[in-house]
Amino acid sequence: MNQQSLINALEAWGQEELAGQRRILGHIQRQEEALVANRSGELLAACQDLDRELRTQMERHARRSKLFAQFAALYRADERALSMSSILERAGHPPRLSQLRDDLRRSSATLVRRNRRFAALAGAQRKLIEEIVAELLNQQDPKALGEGGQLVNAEA
Amino acid sequence: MSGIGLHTGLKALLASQTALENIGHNISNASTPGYSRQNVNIAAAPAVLVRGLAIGSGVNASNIQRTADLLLHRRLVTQQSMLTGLDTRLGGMAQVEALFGEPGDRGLNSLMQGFYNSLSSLSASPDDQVLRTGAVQSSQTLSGRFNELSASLTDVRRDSAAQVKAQVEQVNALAQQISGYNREIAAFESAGVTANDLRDQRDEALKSLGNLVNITYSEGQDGNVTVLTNGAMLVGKTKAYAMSVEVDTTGGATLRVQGNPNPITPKSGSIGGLLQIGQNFVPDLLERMNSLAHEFIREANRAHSTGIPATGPFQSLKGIHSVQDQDADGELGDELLANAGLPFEITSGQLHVNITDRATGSFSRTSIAIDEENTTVQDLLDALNAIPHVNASLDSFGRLQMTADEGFGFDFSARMNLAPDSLGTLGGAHASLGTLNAEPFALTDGMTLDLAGPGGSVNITLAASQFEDISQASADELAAAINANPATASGGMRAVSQGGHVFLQSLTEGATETVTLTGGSALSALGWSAGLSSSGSSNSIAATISGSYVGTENQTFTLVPTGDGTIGTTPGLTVEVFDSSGVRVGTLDVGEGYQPGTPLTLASGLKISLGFGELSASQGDRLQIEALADSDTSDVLVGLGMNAFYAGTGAEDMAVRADLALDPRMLSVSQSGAVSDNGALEALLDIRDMSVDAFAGISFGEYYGDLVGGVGFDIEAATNAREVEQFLTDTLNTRREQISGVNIDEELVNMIQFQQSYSAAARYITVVNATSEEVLRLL
Repeated sequence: MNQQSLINALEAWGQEELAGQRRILGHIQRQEEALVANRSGELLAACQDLDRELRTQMERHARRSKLFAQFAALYRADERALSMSSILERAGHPPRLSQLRDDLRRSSATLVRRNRRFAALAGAQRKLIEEIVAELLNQQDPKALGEGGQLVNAEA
Repeated sequence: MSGIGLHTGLKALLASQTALENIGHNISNASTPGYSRQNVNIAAAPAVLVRGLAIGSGVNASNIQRTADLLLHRRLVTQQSMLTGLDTRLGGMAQVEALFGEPGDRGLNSLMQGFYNSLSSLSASPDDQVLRTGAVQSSQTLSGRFNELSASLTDVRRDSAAQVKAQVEQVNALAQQISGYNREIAAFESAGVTANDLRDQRDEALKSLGNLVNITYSEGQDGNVTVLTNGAMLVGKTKAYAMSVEVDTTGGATLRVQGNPNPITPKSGSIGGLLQIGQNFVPDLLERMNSLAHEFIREANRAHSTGIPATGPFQSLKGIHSVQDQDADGELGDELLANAGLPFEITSGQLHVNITDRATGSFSRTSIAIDEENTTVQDLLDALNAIPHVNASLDSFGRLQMTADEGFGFDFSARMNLAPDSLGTLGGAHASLGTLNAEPFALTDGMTLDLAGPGGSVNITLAASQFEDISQASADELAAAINANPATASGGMRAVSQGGHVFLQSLTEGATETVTLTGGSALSALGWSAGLSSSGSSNSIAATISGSYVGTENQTFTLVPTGDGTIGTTPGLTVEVFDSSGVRVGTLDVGEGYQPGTPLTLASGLKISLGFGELSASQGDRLQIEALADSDTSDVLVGLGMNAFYAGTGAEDMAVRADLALDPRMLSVSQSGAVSDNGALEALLDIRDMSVDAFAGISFGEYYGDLVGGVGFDIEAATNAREVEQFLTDTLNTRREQISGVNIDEELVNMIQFQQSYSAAARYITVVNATSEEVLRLL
């Protein structure tokens, strides 16, 4: 493949990745809302949707790796040293791809930030519930609750 | 990555649905008598059988709700404390960011550019008085901004400490209140009635206390709460313990709690936020600002100290840094220079001092070796005083002061000696015989030299006492030994040394002057032979240097003719050029066809022209030319503050040297003293792009950019953290409301289910984070 066709393929990957990231962001948003609204069913559903989206992201990941390997061969460069910016540099900064790179950068940064926020929320919620349950059961170590076995129904 | 998915993420967790339902039932029954420590008069609802297991159908339990409420409140207090701490930190950081004023006209970055621009303008017209004054003023503006920033940051630190002090009072008042509520609640509830209002008030007091300082608290069986902060008891069962703060003059604050031997460091609450601003954030910035100023002063002074002001070489000069009596013996001279309490480091190297004869404009250079392990202050004074026409001493404050005799001036510049053959060792008009061997000379006690000069014959006997080690005699020692014999002068001769060789010369110039080696046992050790003779000439070869030395290291170039002959006439007559390490770096073709006086490339930007005259390799003609890239490789001038540009040592006290600020003519612009020379300004301008070792090789601008960028980054990180904490606080409040309005046991089972979902979600969190960061890295 020549450079132009590789650039086209990279642009296609970038568009798909951008759309995928937006969908992931939406799923995280749903997870967050479900968590705050106390709707465990929705949380599970959002997890399942996220799972599907991540599978397609893995496919894009593989496609991107192959694409970068082709760029590396074209430029006779180390594949690990290539980035979208270095490709843009070599290709003379095509405007659409440059814009796409910037959009992806913003989108990825937002995703990382939002994901961390959800992580903090989920962690805090989990810890809180552990504390409440432990307190109710007069248990010293909240983490031991997850080990199972000790909470057998007295009436069973 | 392919293994990620609900199949592996949730299967294990959701498979135990029955167990989960069991947990729910157990939680419901957690409030039944005998199961919980809580005394609730509620029985468990009948169980139903599901897949062979008895599952409880739940109970209503108001005490469980209270327990959940208590825990939620406790968490809210912690959350609120973190939020307040972050708010306080953000407030302080924003204040500091505003102080820097970047980007803007009053920002240090802009003022640094202004400083460089003014130097650059002056560099184009080094003799322009107006531009010179402008350069000094922009330097003052820059140092003033450093002072201002340092003072403002120190103020922020002091203000933080003052606020901590005020808030500690509030902590103590609240601790007293809580202790009071404890007593009242215990008394009220001992009658078997819940003291709801008092408990609400205590909750509020705990919340207020948490806003000030991070606390943990727990309620005992008797209804008392005990409060701890950073491991120290603030409210006990029966009393409150006072918190105190000690503030030092710089704004350093130390917190203690009565009965606790160790200081405490709150991490959140407004006091935690203030401490992080006042004890970490601002001190770190101050240290970095000081480091920036310190290195900037060092480099500016390095460049300036070896320059020459518009007023020419110095008649007198005084350092601005004082030698300290480190060993407290009342003597300053015995202090090692490198350990004399000076603010800038002095290392082993060479200091070059130039003495200019104001009448003739000629100058001579003396090199002083500084050994960081051996050279004392007195050694330096002695070496300076050994230079003809220079007087050096310490003033009553321990500052070095130097003066030159009337009619002479001194400087420390790297200027080239444009007429380097003042001794006439390369075709001078004196009769001149140079030793063909270089030092050290293997002489022995009693060796002789028999010479014949214009004034008659001389027999010299060399004594071991005239040498440190006669078997390793130096050229300086041998020349001194020859000159020490009065007969040498009466015979019309003198000995001079240069570059490790000794030159026997006639005292007077002219074609009729002759010196001859007539014999002696020392001749062979010097590479001489009996009968070797030299005659003077009616004119000396004018060796003239032009151009600027662009080498990065100090060099001594040695010029040695390859044969005997006349410049411009003798076919094949050349002069070889060797560098300090003895490597030949060039050959000057001065034989037939060379037009005497034409500049020839010497090395590293330097040129040399040789006038008409005779060269003689057989008579040992040679010439040394010293080219300096740095005339003070020891930084002794910077250490002592001689001809400094900036006084002070850091951001707080940085200031343009007082006499320079008053009289801009004192600004070093040149390295040669010539009106149009801008060498010293160029050296000052080099600061802009120089890689600073102390900053791991980055420039001053980059270091400052990192510093200011770091503040912005910290603010962004704190803002993000605050957003998360605010979100968590809001969610906790929502959760509290949800719990209040529903059947608590069902709610808890629901929560347990959530707990399982979190575990699944946690896996996706990791994957989303990894993939997003990978994409970011690839962009």
